[in-house]
Amino acid sequence: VAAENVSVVKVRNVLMVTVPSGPDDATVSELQEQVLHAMADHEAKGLILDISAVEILDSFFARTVAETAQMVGLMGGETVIAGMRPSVAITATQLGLTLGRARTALDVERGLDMLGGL
Amino acid sequence: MAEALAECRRRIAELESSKARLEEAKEATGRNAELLQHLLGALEDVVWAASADGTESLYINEAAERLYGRPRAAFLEDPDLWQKVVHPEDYEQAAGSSENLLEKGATKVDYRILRPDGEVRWVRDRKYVVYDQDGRPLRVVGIASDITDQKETQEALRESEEKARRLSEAAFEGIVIHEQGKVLEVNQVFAKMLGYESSELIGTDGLALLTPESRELAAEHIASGYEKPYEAVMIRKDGSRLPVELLGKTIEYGGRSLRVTAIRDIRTRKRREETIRRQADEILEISTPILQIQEGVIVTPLIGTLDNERSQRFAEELLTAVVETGSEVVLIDITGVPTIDTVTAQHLIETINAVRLLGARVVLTGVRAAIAQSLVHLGIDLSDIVTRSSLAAGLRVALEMMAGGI
Repeated sequence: VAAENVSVVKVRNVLMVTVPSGPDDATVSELQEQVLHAMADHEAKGLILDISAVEILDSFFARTVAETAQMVGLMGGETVIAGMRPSVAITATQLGLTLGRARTALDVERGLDMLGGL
Repeated sequence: MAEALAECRRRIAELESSKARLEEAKEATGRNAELLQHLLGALEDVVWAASADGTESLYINEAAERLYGRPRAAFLEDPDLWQKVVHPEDYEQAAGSSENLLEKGATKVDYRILRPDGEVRWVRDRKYVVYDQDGRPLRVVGIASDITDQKETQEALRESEEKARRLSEAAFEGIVIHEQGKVLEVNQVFAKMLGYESSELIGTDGLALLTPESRELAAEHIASGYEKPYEAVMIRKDGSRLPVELLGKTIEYGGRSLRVTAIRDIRTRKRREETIRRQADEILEISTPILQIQEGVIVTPLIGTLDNERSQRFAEELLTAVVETGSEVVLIDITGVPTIDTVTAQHLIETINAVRLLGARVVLTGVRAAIAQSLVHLGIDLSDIVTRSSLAAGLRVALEMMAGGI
């Protein structure tokens, strides 16, 4: 299965990624790959994952995001997950899914505030 | 002369031998007649014979005395006696047995008779016409059988059926007796419930009266012999739906597997259930108001205990409110929660985690002494959640958070 195109955008020194609504495993893996390369290329100080389009959160996605946050941390950056939908949040807690050391924000703007305050 | 004498002797011998044969034949006839008498006398049924025009009695056997309680001679003397002993209420039926008998050739009628001792007996009267070689009526013969026992059994059966029918009519529930779905009997209540006449339903497929979904369920229950009440939806004659409760029982009867099903109209119960559910919903909504007290800060005072359903609703509403108001701080006040147990605590922690996933921060307020004690005793760890004993204290923390402090 071909991975969906994921674009990593750099705004000032923050990387921004918009996750498509129903990310499959290949897309999620591809996302991690691209983010890490971009981190290395741009020496960004943070990453904002906009998941406001995501309707279903599975364990693979949650684990990959937690891992990515950990990897980004090792590379000196901080990760913010922005815009999670209420239904996704409820399902995630019921399934016991956690996002590791990633922080959360209501939306991308607040996520930028968080990283800007560093 | 000698020749003539010899001829005479020969004739005499001939005559004597033929006389002996005649005697023999007479004797044989007498024996046959006697045998016939014995046979007729041994019969339980009354056998009689009369002239074709009915004006003369020719014969009647001993059984007549047992059945009618009158001497045989009386019947032989009075050819109309049999009609005189008929029960007054059955006179017409009895008269019908001899009406146009010669044209019909045979008749069969049941009626009651009155014996001299006052006893009433049921008689099955069969009459036949006997014809001569030219086809003219020669005489009339008949058999009268005592069918009192048979009639009494029938009557008892009819009465018990009538009783069962009345009982089922008196029931408040609809009752259907069917065999693999084919309707054998219904009561008035059932027919009325669906807007039919009883006669319209008998012989039809009872399962066709159910909606397709209910039909499947009912068929399963019939096959498995299920004997507990279950809910189903029936289709009335006018096409409207009727929610019912069915309770079936399989009975083995004469080698057949019949099912008696009681049907109860549960519209009222359904309406009541609906009202209760709606009120419960309203109470749930009332009990968890969510208030925005400042830009970015919402407060929700929890009252009562959190069960599974309520907790799910609470989480959904709170999270939606967080997103809609764009609030960064959520104060959950548990002053109104009487006691906390592991289940309530678990629900609370899940809700707080979900709020955090959205990117908002949570302050749990109203942690009174008793609640603090039970939380520790239950081993519930809330160390990564900001908690305060009062809403006022929580509000101060929230404002500090908004100011960018903590």
